[in-house]
Amino acid sequence: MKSDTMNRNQIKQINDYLYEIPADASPGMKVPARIYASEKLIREMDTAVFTQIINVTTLPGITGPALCMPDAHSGYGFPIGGVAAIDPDSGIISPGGIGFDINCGVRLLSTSLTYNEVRPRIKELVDTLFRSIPSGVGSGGIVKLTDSQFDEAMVKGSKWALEHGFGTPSDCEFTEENGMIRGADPSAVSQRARERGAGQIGSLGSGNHYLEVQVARKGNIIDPATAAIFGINKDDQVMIMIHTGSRGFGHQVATDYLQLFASQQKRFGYALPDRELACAPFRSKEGQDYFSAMNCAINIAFLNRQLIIHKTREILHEMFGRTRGLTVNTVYDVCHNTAKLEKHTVNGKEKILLIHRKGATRAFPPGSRDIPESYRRTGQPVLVGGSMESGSCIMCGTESGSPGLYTTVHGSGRVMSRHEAKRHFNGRELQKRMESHGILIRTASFSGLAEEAGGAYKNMNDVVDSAEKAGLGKVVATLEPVGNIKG
Amino acid sequence: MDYEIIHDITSADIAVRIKGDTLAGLFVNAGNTLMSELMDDITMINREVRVTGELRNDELDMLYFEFLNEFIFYKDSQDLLLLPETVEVTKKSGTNICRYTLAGEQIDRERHTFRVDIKAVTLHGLKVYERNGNFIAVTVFDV
Repeated sequence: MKSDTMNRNQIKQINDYLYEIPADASPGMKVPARIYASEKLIREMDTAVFTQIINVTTLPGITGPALCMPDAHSGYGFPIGGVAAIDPDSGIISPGGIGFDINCGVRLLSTSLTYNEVRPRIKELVDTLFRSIPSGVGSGGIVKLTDSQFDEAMVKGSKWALEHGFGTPSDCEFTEENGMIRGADPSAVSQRARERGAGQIGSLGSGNHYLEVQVARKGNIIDPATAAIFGINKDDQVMIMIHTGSRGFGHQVATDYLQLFASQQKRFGYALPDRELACAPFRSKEGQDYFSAMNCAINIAFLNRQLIIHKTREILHEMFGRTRGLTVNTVYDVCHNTAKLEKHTVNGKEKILLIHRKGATRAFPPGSRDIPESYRRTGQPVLVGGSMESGSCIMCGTESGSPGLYTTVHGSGRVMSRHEAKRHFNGRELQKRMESHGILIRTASFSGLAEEAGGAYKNMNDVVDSAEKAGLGKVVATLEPVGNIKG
Repeated sequence: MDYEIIHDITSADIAVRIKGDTLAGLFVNAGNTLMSELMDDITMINREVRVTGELRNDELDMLYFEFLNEFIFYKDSQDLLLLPETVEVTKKSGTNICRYTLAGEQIDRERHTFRVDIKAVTLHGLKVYERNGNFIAVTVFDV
């Protein structure tokens, strides 16, 4: 389908927070597409989102509707915020349904510090974090791994960090897959991917990646009981949020297999509407090789975030170690860009499905065996990174999320392209304006900063409100930014 | 610069339309475009190091895709900022061949300032075609 042929009249409203494009709206659709959004958010979505999600419905083996989360915006292949369940026996795996930045994700730390304790030294803290945590192009990484260490890290993820003194057991416990997804096979990874990744492990990167110092204000805690279980138990508590992924390594894994799959579409008998959706049968050698390599990239992203939080923890201890009983704990670490085999109920039957999530967060409900025991009463924490001006949000998974494949939003979602944002905002002026509002920014690129201005994003409250009202999780608290470092 | 930004393809990434008088010229302009979107000022790259290579692909657009990926690969793996110096694109027995020399230098974060990192070339809407004697490519960069 060409982007100019999508007609918004084809979108049918099911209820206040759910819309559907029926399976007969366009040739080749195997299932309907469903978009979770308020009327305002769906109006704000660019037409390319609908074209891209229609393309997803044509994928071989798709089971149940292709889904768009309320923060959906146009990307490539899948829209960002796109989700698809694929039957692993008859269906495919597609790098375009996962994204280049495999396991881009968010880690949240809770500290025992209050903002009153940190405020007198906030500038020093933000400057020290900016100096110590590699960010931006050509920054290098916290570690430089040898070939054999890299092989080990691809399999062990955050556990590699733990074994080498870069973390605590609870960091792994409170990470999806315990920071070490199974099925990672380094032999499926190219030399090129290793070379791109070797020097970048333990670095933020650029674009929308960041480390943010945040404050949990008492007035912003919506569900105090759940917040307390997540480690938020005092007024003005200082939190740290990190958003980054698998860096050049994951991008090269995706590029290698995208190129391979694109050259094999005829052999596989596929004629997809967008080459970025190039895919392989999941059970084929090519499909399994990509799955193994993607799992390596998932682990490298876990490791990347683990190294950054370990460095952050060291800095906090150096600066505030005299504060009695200082603790810095991982609340949770969530993935955005993955394909995982999960058990879901479809048409009343439990099935193992390959869930492609691109710019979307898993949100398992209370009772799930795949979340830490201490969160089985609350549901999985979901960490929603807002824009650097609007703050972020913590949600938790709910049973009502089943039709949405226990998936929810991952961020605010863009409303303005990067170039448009640069026409509207000036990076240096933005930095000054934010400082006057109590948010200190340090950046490796003022141009990149302008692209990430709050005005380039949807209103985060609209996004999480839609997600909650659509049954895709429950809001626990919002977090206010006071310092941000960007690549 | 022989390129324009396309606004209705993607909001999260960067879509561009690039032109060249010849196929080789298109490849040169595409390499310069990628580096121009990555950096504030590509004239700050000194041509101190040279990298040569040869790529082959039956599909012209996939050859173009591979060529652009070279700039990203050298940036990440060797911290090299490179620009196209000479590019030759030919066809032999149905296979497209690109022989290139790229020139540049190691990243110096004091002198080189960056817009946003370009981390991949996507296949989304990728087109390489000839129209009225000009060669045109549509490309989405992942950032």
